[in-house]
Amino acid sequence: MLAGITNTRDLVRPIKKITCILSIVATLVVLPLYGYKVFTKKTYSDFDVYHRTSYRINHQQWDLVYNFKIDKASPFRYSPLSWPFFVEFDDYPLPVARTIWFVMNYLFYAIGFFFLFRSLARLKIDTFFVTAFSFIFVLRFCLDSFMIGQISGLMFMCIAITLDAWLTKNPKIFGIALTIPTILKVGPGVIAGLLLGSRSSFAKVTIRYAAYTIAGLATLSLFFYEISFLKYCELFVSWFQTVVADANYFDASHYGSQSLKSTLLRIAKQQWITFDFAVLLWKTLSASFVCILAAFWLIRRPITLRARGLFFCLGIFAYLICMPETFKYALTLLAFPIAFLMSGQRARFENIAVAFGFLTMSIAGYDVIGPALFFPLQKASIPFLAIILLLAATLRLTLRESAPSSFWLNIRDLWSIPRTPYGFGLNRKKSETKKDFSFVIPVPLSSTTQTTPYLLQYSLKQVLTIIQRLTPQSYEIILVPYGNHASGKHPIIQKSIVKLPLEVQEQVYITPTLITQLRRGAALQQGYQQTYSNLICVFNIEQPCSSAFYLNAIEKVLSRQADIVRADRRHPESEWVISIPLIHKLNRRFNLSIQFNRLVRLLLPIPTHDLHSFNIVMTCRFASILFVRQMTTALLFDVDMSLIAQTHGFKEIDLPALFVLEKEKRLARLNLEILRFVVRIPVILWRYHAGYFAPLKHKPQFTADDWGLSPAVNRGILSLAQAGVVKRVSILAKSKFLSVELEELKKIPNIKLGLHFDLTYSPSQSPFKIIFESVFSGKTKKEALRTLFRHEFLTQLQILRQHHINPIYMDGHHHIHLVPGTLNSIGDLIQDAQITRVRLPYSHSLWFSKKFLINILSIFALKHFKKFNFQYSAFYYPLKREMKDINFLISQINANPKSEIICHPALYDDSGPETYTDSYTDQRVSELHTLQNLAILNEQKILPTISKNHEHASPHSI
Amino acid sequence: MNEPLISFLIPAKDAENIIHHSATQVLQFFRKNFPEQFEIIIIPNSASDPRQKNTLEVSQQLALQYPEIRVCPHHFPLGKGAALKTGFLNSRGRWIFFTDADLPFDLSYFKDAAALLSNNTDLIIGNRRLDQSWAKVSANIIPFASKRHIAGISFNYFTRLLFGISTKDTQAGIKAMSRRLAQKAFEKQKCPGFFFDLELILTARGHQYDIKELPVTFNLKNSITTVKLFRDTLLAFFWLTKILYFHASGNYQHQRSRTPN
Repeated sequence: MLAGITNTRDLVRPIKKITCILSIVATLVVLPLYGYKVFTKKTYSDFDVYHRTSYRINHQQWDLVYNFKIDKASPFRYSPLSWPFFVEFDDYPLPVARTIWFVMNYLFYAIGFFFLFRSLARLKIDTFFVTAFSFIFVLRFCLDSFMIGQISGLMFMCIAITLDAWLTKNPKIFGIALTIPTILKVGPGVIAGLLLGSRSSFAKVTIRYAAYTIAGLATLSLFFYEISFLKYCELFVSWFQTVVADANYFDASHYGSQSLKSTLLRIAKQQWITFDFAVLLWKTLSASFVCILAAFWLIRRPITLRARGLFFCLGIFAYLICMPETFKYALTLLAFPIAFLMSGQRARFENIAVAFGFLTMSIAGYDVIGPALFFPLQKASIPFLAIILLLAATLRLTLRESAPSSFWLNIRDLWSIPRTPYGFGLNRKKSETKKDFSFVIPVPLSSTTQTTPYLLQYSLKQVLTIIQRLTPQSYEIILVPYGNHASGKHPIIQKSIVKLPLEVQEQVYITPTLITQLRRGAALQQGYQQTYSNLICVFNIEQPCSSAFYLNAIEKVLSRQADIVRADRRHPESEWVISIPLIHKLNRRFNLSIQFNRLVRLLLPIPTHDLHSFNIVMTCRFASILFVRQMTTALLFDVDMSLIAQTHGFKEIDLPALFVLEKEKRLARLNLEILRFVVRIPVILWRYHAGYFAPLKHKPQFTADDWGLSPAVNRGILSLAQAGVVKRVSILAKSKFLSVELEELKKIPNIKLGLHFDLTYSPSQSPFKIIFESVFSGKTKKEALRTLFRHEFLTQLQILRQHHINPIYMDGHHHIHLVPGTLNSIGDLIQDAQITRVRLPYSHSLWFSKKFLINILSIFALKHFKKFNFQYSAFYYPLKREMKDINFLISQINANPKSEIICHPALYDDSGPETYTDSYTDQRVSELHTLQNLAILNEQKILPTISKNHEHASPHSI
Repeated sequence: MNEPLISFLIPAKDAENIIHHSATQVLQFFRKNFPEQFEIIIIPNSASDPRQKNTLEVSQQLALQYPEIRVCPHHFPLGKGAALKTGFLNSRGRWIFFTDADLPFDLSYFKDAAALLSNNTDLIIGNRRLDQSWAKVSANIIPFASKRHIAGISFNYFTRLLFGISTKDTQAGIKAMSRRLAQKAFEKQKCPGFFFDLELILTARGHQYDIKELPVTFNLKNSITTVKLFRDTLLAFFWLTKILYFHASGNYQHQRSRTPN
């Protein structure tokens, strides 16, 4: 059979075929074989307890149903709600009832695997094989449940149906199917935690149908078994007491149980910890695990169907791990995570986890490996370890196939400082003909903020009026859908656009939807990137205002009376068209926002009385600075806007307007906004006083390192040098790509080129090795190193000169020139080369980073600088996080106007074995974008001539 | 002029500054939407009061200027309800419309009301508390509008509790009705003031006439109000008690004619 196999794929195919055939054969063999075994079974099985209980219920022996004193080790552990599942067995003699129960269990598994197959079929990846494999994986556990007569089959079927309902988003079936295993074992109820991350409508229907199921089962018991309601309630108390007593009575350290508690108790048996501590630890760890899982479900959202299944499987793990005892029959539920791990792409870790589980749980049965190996494996909790490994694998995959939920983005937004998006400077549209006006309309389409067709159509109608009145030669209408339901094809957007005249429709551009872009400020930034005009009109679709405001505002901006004009909702001449039932709510919010505005004006130099109107007309010049420096993507974006206008001397005007309010904000959103305000205002306040909003006062003096490392590095440096941000370029002389774009670089006037002295790139070696050898090696070795340093310096200098480069300064790749002995070795050569300036990379910021060694080396190297009389300037080394925050960078440039600042830009990431593989791979591109944004500010000649002022203007028609 | 379809009643008190503008607005609206099918009746209230002389004069000038406008001065008793009754008694239209002299509501309401009246609805109430109702409010009077809204809701709640009616806005000064309802309502009218609206609704309900509600667009221009809190609360209490008494005694119910033994 194996003949002719040439590659792995050829080998995998027969294995899959064998697995499928094996599963079918096993299924067919099991039915008669185990049916016979169960029928002839004489010893105790769990089913005997159900049979006995059904007798007691049918004979109304209520006090015996839950009686721990009589039943001792084998009490009935399921709540009175579960009676309808067992009570009919009393009609049959025990062997017959057992066999019926076996057949039922067999069918339960069959139905369960059918639903698993159905669920997997939606993923469209090897459905049959994956189902067969997961079946083979848990086959031994299924057989175990047949012999014990446990309810695992019923559990399995219900969980499979629940999974299917979860994947198909059917809350009714989800609610009913999950309630049954929860009634039986309580633990599976943890899966209901999935509702935390679901839509509220899904959760509501699920809870309603779960309640119906419980009510239905209770009604069945009350009417069919003729028990009084009071007695029925009493039996719930008895059931609870029995379960507690049983948990205390039963030794969970039994070798067969593979739960967390059992593992800890087995450890306690070895006297590594006390039993009390083991129980305490189990409770703490279990509670923590469930809480963490709930948090995970809340803060992540699956982005694939497989991930949705994996989310579900995490709940199964919580049940299996945190239960007091987890015997083999319970492990049948592992079929679900196994199936989802196997369907689709997986890494080596996932394969190892599945293989380890298969070997230690599925194969390693008593009859296969014998008692000598079986008991030690069980007692060492190796199957438990396998479950943990499978959990880790599932979690890994889940993380990979999920994204942050909108809930998490909301929370994260409270404290994070949003950065200017990468590529901001690059992405701005410049190729088309410049327009007269850009109308930017952010369209909220999220679960908390949903626009209405009326509001969008109203805004577009105002745009039309403006166009008709001003008759611009060219204009553009940018619609920016944002929020978790955002899509350019959203019916609200499509229907509104269709209603526009054809020639206007042609001017509409809908921006693509970004996953992370959830907020109005971010949406506006994205909209701005698509504009290409000198004047930008922004519409707040939630409270749009009439065209009269925009006409007034445009006139103010065009006549250079203002750079930014805001519609003032609190202006005495402003008017509201409002849905009457909202008046009271609007008044309350008005009062709240007046207090907010007063507080903001007290704390910050903001003159406007209405920060959040968001109906704005602004110049492109202001917008380009605003969006480069934007720190907030959400509510307080308007504070950013006003502060930037003030600090940069732009003139703001507030005008009255006619506003439309169709619906009021939801309470949840209002609360979140208040919370955001409380958290963020102190941050903004601190940043304002730390100079983060200050304009760029000095031309930045950046030195770009690593020219020659790769084509992308060279091109990145070149673009920044051409933009005037990079003033010096350090060249790796022996680099492979030295000549790429070199001639272009040399053409840039006033560019200073230096030698990036290198001992670690060519030949590649660790800088730490060189430091170690320089400090700790013997005299001979040190002499050899000295010779090497001198030789390398001369060689590299020679190469640069061959390229007609006369370096006027020197620094070191990985700051290797600071290594003890280096400068001493090559100092005279540097002087001979007429290089007078050498970098001393001492920066205060480095002391609190992992690069603190550079400061120490700088201190030690200082004496050589003095000895050779090298010049050096103050130095600032921006850390990774600092480089991403342009406002911080500006504050540092302003604080250290004459400092040399280093950067390592690249136009794109072309790292690899052919170029470079250092730790800077991902940072180079982000550095480039930050510096490109800085270049935009540099281009703006920063301080405008208009004096700082703010005024309320009276309306007048154009 | 033939018998018009619509009689539009405008009770006018202290309205010398606004009546000209309002009447011409109404005229334009009806000429456009109901050409040659309407009459406008201005009812200068308290016409014998010298302070209302100007209102009367401006109204009369309008009547001279426009053939569709007529003036029916009302003298006694004082009150909007009584003035409307005077207007109604002088009207000829099959449908009776009325609104306040300062036109606080958008007139487009009457287009929808006419459509409903032609479908045999007898009373169309303008309801400010429907979700589709809009208000145009100055930013500086939003607190006043809010208080007024709450007061209105409270009063309406109380009224609904007392009379078991379902409408959430009895007092909006914009209504349209059939002539047969107006006939009954003014016959049974007890209150000459602004509780006439309530009587109108009670009469329509008592006679099992078809009642519908329409959203309105409400224009709140300023926070000036004619309501005097103490006096009007007492008056409201007096009239509500009186109307409740008449309501309980079946005044607003349909009176079946007695058959002889």
